[in-house]
Amino acid sequence: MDAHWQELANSLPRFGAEILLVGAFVLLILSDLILRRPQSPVLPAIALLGMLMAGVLAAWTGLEGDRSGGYLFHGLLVVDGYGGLFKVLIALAGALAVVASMEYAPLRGHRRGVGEYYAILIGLVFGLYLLVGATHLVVLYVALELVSLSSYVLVSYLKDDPRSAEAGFKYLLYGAVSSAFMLYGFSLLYGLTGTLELYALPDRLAELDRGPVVALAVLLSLVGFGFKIAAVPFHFWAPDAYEGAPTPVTAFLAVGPKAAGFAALVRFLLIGLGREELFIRLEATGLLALLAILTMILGNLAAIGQVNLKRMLAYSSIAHAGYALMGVVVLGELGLQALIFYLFVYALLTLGAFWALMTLAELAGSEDVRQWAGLGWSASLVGVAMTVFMVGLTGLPPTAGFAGKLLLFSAVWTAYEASGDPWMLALLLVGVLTSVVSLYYYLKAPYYLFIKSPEAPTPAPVAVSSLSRLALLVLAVPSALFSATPLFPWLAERVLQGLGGAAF
Amino acid sequence: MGSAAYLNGYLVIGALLFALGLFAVLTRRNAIGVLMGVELMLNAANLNLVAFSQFDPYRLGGQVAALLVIVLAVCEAAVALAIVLNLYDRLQTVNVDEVDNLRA
Repeated sequence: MDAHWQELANSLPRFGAEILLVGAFVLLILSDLILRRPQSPVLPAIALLGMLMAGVLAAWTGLEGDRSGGYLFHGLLVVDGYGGLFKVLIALAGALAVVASMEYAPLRGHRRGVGEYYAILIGLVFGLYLLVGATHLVVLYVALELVSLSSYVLVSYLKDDPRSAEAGFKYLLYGAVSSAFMLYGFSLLYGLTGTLELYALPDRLAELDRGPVVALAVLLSLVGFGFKIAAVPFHFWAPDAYEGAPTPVTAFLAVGPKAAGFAALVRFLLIGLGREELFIRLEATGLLALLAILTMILGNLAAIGQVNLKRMLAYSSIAHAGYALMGVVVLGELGLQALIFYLFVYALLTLGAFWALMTLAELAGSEDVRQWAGLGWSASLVGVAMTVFMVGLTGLPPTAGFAGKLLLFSAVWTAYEASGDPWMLALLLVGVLTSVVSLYYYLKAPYYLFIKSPEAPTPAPVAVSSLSRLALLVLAVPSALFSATPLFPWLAERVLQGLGGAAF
Repeated sequence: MGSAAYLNGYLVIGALLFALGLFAVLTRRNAIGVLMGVELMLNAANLNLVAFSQFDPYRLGGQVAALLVIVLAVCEAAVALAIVLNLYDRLQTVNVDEVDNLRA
């Protein structure tokens, strides 16, 4: 019994970021009840502070975990530098989503108020933190469900909007079915190995003969991750959910759950399915490469025909899941570094693009890019920022997107040179070709904003709130110039070498 | 005491439940029917977890997992029904084929 108390006492301080999020959640619910003012500015302030402090704490506990062993609660969770990086990314994205929500008109005017909205957003971040740290199949499942349930509610939060209702409904159906698949896969893994602990799995799996049941269990387990990162063929929910959800929620869903999904997927592959030998024995590399290729092709091709920019960005986020999956296929130190860096870049560009979209859609009264003709001249800062984000998502220099894609592609190339695996060459070819294709649809927004002349006479300059201006500037400047700064080669060579986690 | 001889029976029933649940998900047009199919799939996994639990050296892993899954299934049902109810208020239908107003 004493040993249990000891473990609990040791674990709790390193669980600080998560405890803080739970505290913020409770505080939000209580202040919503006590203040009785549905639009009180105290509510987003609590959420914002909670996110930022959780990010700082997660960085600290991550470093601490790397130093002194990161397993918590008898190995249910792990805190390490690798997870800390993802948690910082999630906290920053969450903080930005909170600020964006303060700007978003349908939420500002929501008759039921925003107290529950911010509380659920905090709950979602808590779920993502658990997902990033989970090293036990049950914790993994609980975290995934927490993320999913919060996301469903946030997507359909605009109760009066039929599009929001439909988006939440579709998200719910696909999410419920894929989590059931995943749980069935976990139950088979448990039956095969007799353990639910992730780091005990590879030894037990290695003793088994490779058979169809092992493959089935692994395949079913991967469904849940595929759903969270919106990879083909588990992507069907994404366009509808993204289009109908409130824009700040869409922006966060495109970044937070995707990053956490990748973090958990890598952990599952590296710890759960064992290091290189077992991973290769299961031929997971080929399977993941195939998924990455299909995701890149389908995401980019489907984006071409879209005129609703929100829906186009949904397909673009599917395509980027494909690019990031390349890092998972390569794995090793190189692949992981490229993956983490790519996710940071993708988050920066995507959050920026959604913020610009939110502002432009409010100015034009439509998310349809054809209604935006000439708007770039009357709201020049937003127009320029949008152009930067679109060029960045394409991956052209000197944007941050170029840096991300360059690191990823060179990781794949290095892996190809080392192994001669034809999958790597295929990945590289498809990655480059689809990037070229993506130029066509990404440049649609700048084209309408600046080049296409409006049917009505050019409107006078319109007012954009100073908060939006500030946010767009903060996001656009690093997006535009990152690869041109000396910071990029420095990051590429030195800092990234130090990443990778203690838990591996 | 449980023995390996009974295991196959549990697994077959679990697999059947899962298949029936999936069949319901794929064929039911009513959203509530689809959600009931999902419940069957979750319970199939639960049955597996409990059945396998007797081979767990600690005995309890699978059973505790099943308890947690039951709680989560209830939470999911609560959220799901709220969303379906809201959908019905907006669109006057819960037929999954008719809910198709976002551009496909």
